[in-house]
Amino acid sequence: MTEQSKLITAVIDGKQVTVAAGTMILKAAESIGITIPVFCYHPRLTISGSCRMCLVEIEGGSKPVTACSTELAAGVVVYTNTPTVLEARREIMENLLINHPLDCPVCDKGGECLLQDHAYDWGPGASRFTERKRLFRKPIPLSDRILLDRERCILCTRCVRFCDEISDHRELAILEMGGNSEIAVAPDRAFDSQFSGNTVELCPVGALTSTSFRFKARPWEMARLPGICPFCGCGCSIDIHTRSGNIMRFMARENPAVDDGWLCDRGRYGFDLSGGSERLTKPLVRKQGRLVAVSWKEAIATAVEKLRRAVSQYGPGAVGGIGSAWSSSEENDLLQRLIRESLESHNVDCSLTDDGRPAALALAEGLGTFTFNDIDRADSILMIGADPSRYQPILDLRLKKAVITRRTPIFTLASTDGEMARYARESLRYRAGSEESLLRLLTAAVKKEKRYDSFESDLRAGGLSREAIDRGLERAGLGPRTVVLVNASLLTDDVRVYLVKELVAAMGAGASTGLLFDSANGFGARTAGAVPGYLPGLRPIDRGMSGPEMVVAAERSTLKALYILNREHHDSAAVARARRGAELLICHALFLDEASGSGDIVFPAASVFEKQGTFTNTAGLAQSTAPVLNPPGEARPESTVIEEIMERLKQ
Amino acid sequence: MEKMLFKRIDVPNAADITVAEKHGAYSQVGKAFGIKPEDLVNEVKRSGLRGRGGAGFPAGLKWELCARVPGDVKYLLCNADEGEPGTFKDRFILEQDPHLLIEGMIIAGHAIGAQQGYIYLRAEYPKAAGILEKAIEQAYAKGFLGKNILGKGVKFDLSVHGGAGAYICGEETALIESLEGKRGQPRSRPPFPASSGAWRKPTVINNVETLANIPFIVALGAETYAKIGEESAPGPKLFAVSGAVNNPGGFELPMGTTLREIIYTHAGGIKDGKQLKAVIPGGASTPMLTADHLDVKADFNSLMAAGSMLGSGAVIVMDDTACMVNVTAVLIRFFEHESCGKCTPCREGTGWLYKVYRRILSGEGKPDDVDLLLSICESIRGKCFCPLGEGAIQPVLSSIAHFRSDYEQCVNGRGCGREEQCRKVLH
Repeated sequence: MTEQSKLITAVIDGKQVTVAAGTMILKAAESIGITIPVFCYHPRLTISGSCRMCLVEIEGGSKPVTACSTELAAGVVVYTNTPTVLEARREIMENLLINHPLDCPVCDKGGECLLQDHAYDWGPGASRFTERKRLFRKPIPLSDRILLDRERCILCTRCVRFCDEISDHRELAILEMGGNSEIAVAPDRAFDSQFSGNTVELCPVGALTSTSFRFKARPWEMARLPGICPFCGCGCSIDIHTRSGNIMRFMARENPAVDDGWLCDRGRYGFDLSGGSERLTKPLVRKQGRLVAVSWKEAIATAVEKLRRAVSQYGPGAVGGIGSAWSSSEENDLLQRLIRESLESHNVDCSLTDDGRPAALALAEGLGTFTFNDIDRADSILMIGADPSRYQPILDLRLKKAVITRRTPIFTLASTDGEMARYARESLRYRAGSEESLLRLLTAAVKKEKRYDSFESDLRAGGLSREAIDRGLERAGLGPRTVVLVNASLLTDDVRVYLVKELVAAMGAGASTGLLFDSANGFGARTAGAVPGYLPGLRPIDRGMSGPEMVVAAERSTLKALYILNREHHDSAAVARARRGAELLICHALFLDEASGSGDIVFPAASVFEKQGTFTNTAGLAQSTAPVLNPPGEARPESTVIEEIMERLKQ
Repeated sequence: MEKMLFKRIDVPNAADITVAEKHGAYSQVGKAFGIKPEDLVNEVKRSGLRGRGGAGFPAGLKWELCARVPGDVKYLLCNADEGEPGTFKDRFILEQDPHLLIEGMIIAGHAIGAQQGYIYLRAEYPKAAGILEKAIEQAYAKGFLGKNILGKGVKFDLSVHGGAGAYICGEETALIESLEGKRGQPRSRPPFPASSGAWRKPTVINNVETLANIPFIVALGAETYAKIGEESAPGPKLFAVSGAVNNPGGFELPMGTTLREIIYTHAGGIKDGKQLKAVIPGGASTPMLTADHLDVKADFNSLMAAGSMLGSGAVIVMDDTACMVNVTAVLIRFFEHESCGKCTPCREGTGWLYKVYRRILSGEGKPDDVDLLLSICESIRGKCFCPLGEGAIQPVLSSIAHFRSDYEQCVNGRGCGREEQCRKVLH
């Protein structure tokens, strides 16, 4: 039995508690339902022990000790509620407040502030401090997104520790000393981390505030509903705070399987994209060349009639549908059923610019099985063309955690600069386009095969060599629990898919593979069957045209009708090209812009926050969301519209 | 008593290695290398040597804790951040006999298994920095430092690391943080430096004077050494006497010499025929004593029993014209300025104390202020991250305990006729 797993028993406030040796008093107390007030302590940061709010008494001890940083020793008797402890809390509170501006009525934190709550619970009620308070200019911007009020700051250093320990961007520091100490952006640095917003959420007082939320709402005015962040393939858990039909902010909602309780700024501050007053609120149908607002009844009837006519006039092969890697699995499923079942066409994909099939093949072949928690346990990590710091930010934090806390070796191979290269034991650059050669060489190196000459010239052009690959594999050290992370967008054809499969097979049974999708439901759109050649559940079916093929066919007028699930998720230029030759363009859209305005029928859509749906993250985790807002005007969730069209097409 | 620590203090140019060697420097290195490290640790334990930085922790025990931790990389740090107001005892050794310190460090390094030493030197000693650098260079040239000292296969490298002027860096864990290039703030203990110190390796941190004692323990043997001074704390002790005395300066005296002897025999008594009003026996953070305490022996236990501390041995003397409100205000200004800001009670509490003193000295004192000061001290006492805050309240508590009438004169608006002078003290 190791030292860590040994159990010890002690008494806290008269209750017996048994915990692993080495457990701090605070955590031990928590485990039996005793809460000790804290400021600087945070379960996901290192222990600071500086605020002194958590002082408790140990029987026989000469003075109170901090519960956050004192290990519970076997047999000790701890008290968290003696007159000495309560007096210590009163004194700490009084000291914390002598320089605090006490501006709760105008402070955004009011109502969810630890300082306020603890002052009510433990503070002296009135202050004896009659001197002049320490004054600072305020607020001062730390970045475009975050403001600092130094008068409210209690110097708990949670923000500094986050930047030092979690994001490892180290942008914040304490300047000056003693009573003049202040949090600041470190000299010669900028607070431009993609994780900066976490410091606002960590701040136990109103010192750090987001520009996007400042003076916008009080905590008690908002409804809080659980949601899933829709802005990348990670699917972090969030709490969505709304007031009067508007989203006010996102807050993290800890999910150890995904986000560890953190959010990236793209997710946290991304909700603005969904709002705006320019939303489409009525169905539009083209009449004499102009889009005019019509009733839902008329719009749907027109769609049904025109789709039916296209099929009967040109055959099912002249009709196609485009789902979306940003739409829910249910919506993608309905879209493919509309095309395959109702219109009997095989032309289904989830993108206008990329063939969605190869990644679906990869999933069907058993790749894409990793979970985020695999990173925590990995022997080593091999990253191919992946840049999670940019495209799956929360995964970046998880990778850093593995490197910082476990020294997990990483080997990165990429065609562009990525932040993870700094954490890698070895990082190599290849020339974009040479992925196939790279995969062959990598597999040969893993298998320790000598035959690789045929494509060495291709690699040399990219600056790679067998020696460099061998060195990288050697330094990373492949093990039974190696995780291979592959940028899903590199899987442009079947050959690459089988090469990745061969590579992973060469590593042994325990290796797991992650396909990194940058979209919220790149995984789910494929398992929902919105790709050529696959039905839901990745059951094979006849292969129709891919998205890019449909664009070309539409441009040449061989594809006559195109149904686009959500216009905003697709490239405007591709929509415009398809428009040129297509007779019928139907789309759902949030806004009326040039591309959606080129449609013949435009359905006002519901945003991701206005409907229910399931999203499968890049690690294959399916998560459902519920609506937090109502769609504006007559806008409707896409699924109800497609269902109605399918129903009418049966008649 | 024959001088030991100050043996070469009056020898001209003793900072030069040739002169120092002629007067016995490095004579104990060879002998020490002939003793097994664990025996050397035991020798220091048996000598009874207690740390001279202030806390008086048994030096041998500290060494043993570190020596026992397995590991190839260990560090020996010399705390030369002599920042306690009133203290200037180590400076004599640093500037006038650096080779005594270096010799002590070589022997200590051998005992605990450290092959790298650092002298953490306070920024305010630029002269000592140059002298130490030169002395270390000479010691390397003579083969007392380096890969193979005296051809005996012992390795010990030594360099000077300059502080940046913060009092807190005299606290051992803050010193380590600063040495590592970080912000000088104390670390949580445990782990203690003996098991996880500089760069998380086992580390011993000793004061300059502590290390300077080592060659004499080797030379005399533990038994003979232990006969010097007090039984509870053997050895010679350096005292730095300042304030209202005729002959301020540094004195090497046996541990346990009375305050009276230190002040009246060695420091020449009170200036201008005045009377002693108060004495701070061990630096600014040790409680003040009065003329009633002059027969207390200056050693760890005796001063503790008298309600104060030996501290660093910095004896600050005040005569009967001193206003203790005024004196304490100046000390509090120091602690408020030097609080590192890490923990709440010290950061906020010392600032509050300072503001109250400022107000009292500016003539705005209120009768309740004395009790308020005591209450603020209570809010700091026993609640701080490191000893700084605890030390900061000692002058307040002791000055009010012994000289409450000085305060009452101030806060009751009776005045003492010297208000103009007070107003200038804190500006």
